[in-house]
Amino acid sequence: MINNITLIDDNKIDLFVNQKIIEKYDSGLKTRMFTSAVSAINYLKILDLNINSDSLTKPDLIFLDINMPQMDGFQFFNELRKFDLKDPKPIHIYMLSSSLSLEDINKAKSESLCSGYITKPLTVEKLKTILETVSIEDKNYNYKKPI
Amino acid sequence: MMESVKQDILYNHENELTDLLQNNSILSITDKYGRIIYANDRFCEIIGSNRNNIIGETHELIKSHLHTDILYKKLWKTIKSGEVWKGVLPNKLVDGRFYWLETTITPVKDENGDISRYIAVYNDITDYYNKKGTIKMVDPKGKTLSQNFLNVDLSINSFGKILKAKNKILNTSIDDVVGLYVYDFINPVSHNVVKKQIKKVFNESESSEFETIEFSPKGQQTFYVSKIEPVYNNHNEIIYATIVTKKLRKDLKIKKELRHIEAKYSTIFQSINVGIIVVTDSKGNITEWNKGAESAFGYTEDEVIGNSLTMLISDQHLITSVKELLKAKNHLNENKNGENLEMIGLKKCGQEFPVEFSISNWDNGKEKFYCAMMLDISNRKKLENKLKQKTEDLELFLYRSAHDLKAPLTSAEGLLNLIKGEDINSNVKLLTTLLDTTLERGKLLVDNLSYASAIQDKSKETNTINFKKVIDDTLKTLSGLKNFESIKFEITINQLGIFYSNKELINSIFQNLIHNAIKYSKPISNDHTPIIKIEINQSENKVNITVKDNGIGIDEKCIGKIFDLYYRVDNEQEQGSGLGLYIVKRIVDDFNGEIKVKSEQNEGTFFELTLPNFIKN
Repeated sequence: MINNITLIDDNKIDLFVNQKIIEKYDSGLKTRMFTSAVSAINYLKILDLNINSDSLTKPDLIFLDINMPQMDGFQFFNELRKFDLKDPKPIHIYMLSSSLSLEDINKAKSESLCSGYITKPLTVEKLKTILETVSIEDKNYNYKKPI
Repeated sequence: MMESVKQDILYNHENELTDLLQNNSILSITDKYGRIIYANDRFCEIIGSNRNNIIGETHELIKSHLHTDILYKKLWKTIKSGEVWKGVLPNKLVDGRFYWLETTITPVKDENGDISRYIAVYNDITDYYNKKGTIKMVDPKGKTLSQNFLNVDLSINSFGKILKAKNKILNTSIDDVVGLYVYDFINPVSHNVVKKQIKKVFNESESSEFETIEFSPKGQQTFYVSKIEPVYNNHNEIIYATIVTKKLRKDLKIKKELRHIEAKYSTIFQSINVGIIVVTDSKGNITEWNKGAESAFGYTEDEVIGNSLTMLISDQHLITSVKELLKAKNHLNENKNGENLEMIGLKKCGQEFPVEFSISNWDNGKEKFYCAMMLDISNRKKLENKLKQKTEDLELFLYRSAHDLKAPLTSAEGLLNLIKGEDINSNVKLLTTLLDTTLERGKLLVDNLSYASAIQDKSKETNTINFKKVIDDTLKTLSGLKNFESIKFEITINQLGIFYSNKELINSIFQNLIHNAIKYSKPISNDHTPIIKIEINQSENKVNITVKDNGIGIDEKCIGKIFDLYYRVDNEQEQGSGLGLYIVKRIVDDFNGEIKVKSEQNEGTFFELTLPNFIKN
């Protein structure tokens, strides 16, 4: 079940729009926003060290922009790969970009940590499709996972 | 006994004897001083003179007993001592005619035993002697007129046979050419001309001239002029003609100019920064080499001259370069136009560098020469690469710009979506619809821009193309356009086998062409049904695509510009980005395909494309 969604985008307007869409779809969903990939990575690092902390919640789904200063979406994946998350439950990371570039799409496809690629703007329909896909994947994951 | 017989012959049978001798031989009798007291007709003929003029005169043949010539000394010594002399005398007459006479001179003594007269009997052996002479004197034939006869007075008969030759400066006769023909010394090319002139001199009694040209072994040309003048005897008959040969003065002038030009060009040749290499045909060996070539290749003249041109070509590219060279050579031989070719040159130090040769040729009648003007195109290549880099940078810039422009548009679109979700009144709702179209147009523009920039990248990837699906997808995408519902689409697809190309670019082509056809269609009415005909015929190697509409058409004045970047047909209703057809054209060009357009205003537009099948190797 998806409860926490994290948005990473340097464009505050996009963050606002996406947050509103998520709210519109389901006001029960919690969103956390980062305006840079670097701060998002730092957050995930801290989170991983304090896995049982109540004040920190691990995101179930991340919407990641590609073009960002300092660290772009692809660099974010590389950073993420550098530390092994102790929590085995995977985070679904979707690229959310305005780019239609084939190069970006192919790069996203070949990225093992990337779950999908969607084009901006995020709409309620798109969000709905993703959340449905993600919950099916999670079910299968749980099913396979021996406890 | 002999004496009495002679006396008898001379005095008693003079008449019969004279008759006999008159007809059958050449005969003369001189007194003891060498004065002619008798000459028969044939003798007169040979001498070319009247008998009255001869009698009493000293005989030209034997008068010169004081002559230093050994031949005559011996002759006189012999006959003075009463002995018979036999030998061949060259009979050079007053008028210059020349005969070889086999001569027997018999002294006749009087009663006192003193020699009173000499009887000379001649045999004309000129012909025989000439033949012999020809055989003996083969050498002068090899020489040319000028070499032999510059400053020589030559006497010839009407057949061009040389009767006499005299060196004007040394004042000596040149016997070894006598009896040969003047043609033996003239370039065969000129034979007819010379023959004609000699004939003219003899037939028309006019002096004449002819010019001859000769080549030195080095290929230098020399012009000569020969003057022929008739010589008459007392009866005003032409007995022979003289030929005097000079170097042509005009030629002297030419030579001066040539020397001047040569000095000029050799200076240019040596000093010019452009490498010039001259190569002869026979072996492809280098015969000339200038400073420019030296500085480019590092070889000095001495190191290069006589070597093959291949020493200047990189080993790696030798075979292709030689092929190119031969091709250029053949091309030159055919139509004489200069040829340019690029190859990789090899410096003395082993360094390779790109070089362009401009090759031209000429010949001097014997051998062909090829001249290669060399341009070191390293700088040009460097600039070309720089330009390529710049183009790539620009492409990237365009791509990034288009990309970056799209981000705010999508943000606006997102915001607009939120507005639409709010509780808004109908006025605002209308505004959001207008804003929607504006944003849609903006997005299309930047999409096209990024397409335009990304074409070269994308064309590298090939996929299988299903034209039916491509067209279906395109029509689906365009279905939102106004007028779409009113248009009748007639689609024919003949696809045989698999067509390979880049899916996105093919999509882009159809999208743009069909979009245009819809955009510029005429509205449906009672007597007009807008039709768009799309036909696809694929063969093994290529596909032929036609898109035909019956819309508003394109103004004749504009049709040449429709593929230009940012060109837009003025239209009140429709605003394009000026990119659509530019993109189509660029894609077609990148595919090495072809696109043609025909259009008539108010009748419609017809696009025809041919694209190659990128069959995977």
